[in-house]
Amino acid sequence: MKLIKSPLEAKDIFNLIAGDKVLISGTVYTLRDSAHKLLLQLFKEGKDFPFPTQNAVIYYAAPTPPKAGHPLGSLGPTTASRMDVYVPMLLEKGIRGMIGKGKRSDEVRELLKQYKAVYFLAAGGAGAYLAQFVKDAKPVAFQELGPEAIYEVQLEGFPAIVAIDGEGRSIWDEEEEKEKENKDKI
Amino acid sequence: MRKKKKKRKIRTRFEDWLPLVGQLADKPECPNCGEEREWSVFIEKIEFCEHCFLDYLEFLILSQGLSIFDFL
Repeated sequence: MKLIKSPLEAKDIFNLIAGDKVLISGTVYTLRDSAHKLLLQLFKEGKDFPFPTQNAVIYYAAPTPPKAGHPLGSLGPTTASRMDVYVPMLLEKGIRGMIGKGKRSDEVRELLKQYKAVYFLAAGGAGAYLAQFVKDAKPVAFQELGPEAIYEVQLEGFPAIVAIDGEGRSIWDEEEEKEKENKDKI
Repeated sequence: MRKKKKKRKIRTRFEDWLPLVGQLADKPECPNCGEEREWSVFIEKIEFCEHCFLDYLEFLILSQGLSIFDFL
């Protein structure tokens, strides 16, 4: 198990290999579909993003309302591939880590390699369990979007798996090779 | 005389699967996704509803290199 801090440092990214189990601590920012659209608008206008993006990690998630004594309810990952089209924009802005669920496109894998960034897989369906690793959370932008606002979230020991590393290696390489071989046989 | 082959019982309703996978939910809302649920299953003390369980299954398949056939 590797311990990593967010924002990420170049040496941390270099040391991460697809398949590594990690515990993430530090600040991450939640991003869902609607917030991406608003960020794209800012990007097109050449404006700054409403949160610090340099080496930042984003989490494809939206929190449920908090329970008494907790910063938020549950915080499970959502399907990352829906946001694939926005990845070039995020990487260009300096973001170097993404936490989500499900596979990414080949284009995203190439971009992660190009920008030396990492995609982490979090356990789907376990949002209430994952929320226990959240120490603090507050909305920082687009509050009109409700749960889809951008939240600044303080994590401590959040469990994830490196699905695509900074060299473009993925935990699905072997499986994809097999698929290709089977297709060739047919 | 040849013995007649017993017809295999096919589980078609969720209630038929219930003893294998979990229990009926006591609260309407899932603690994970907040959706209304019909049943829950506990895996290492973490509760999954019918929706979340499928997400978790996907995670296991994607992260552990498992095939759906490993579960059958």
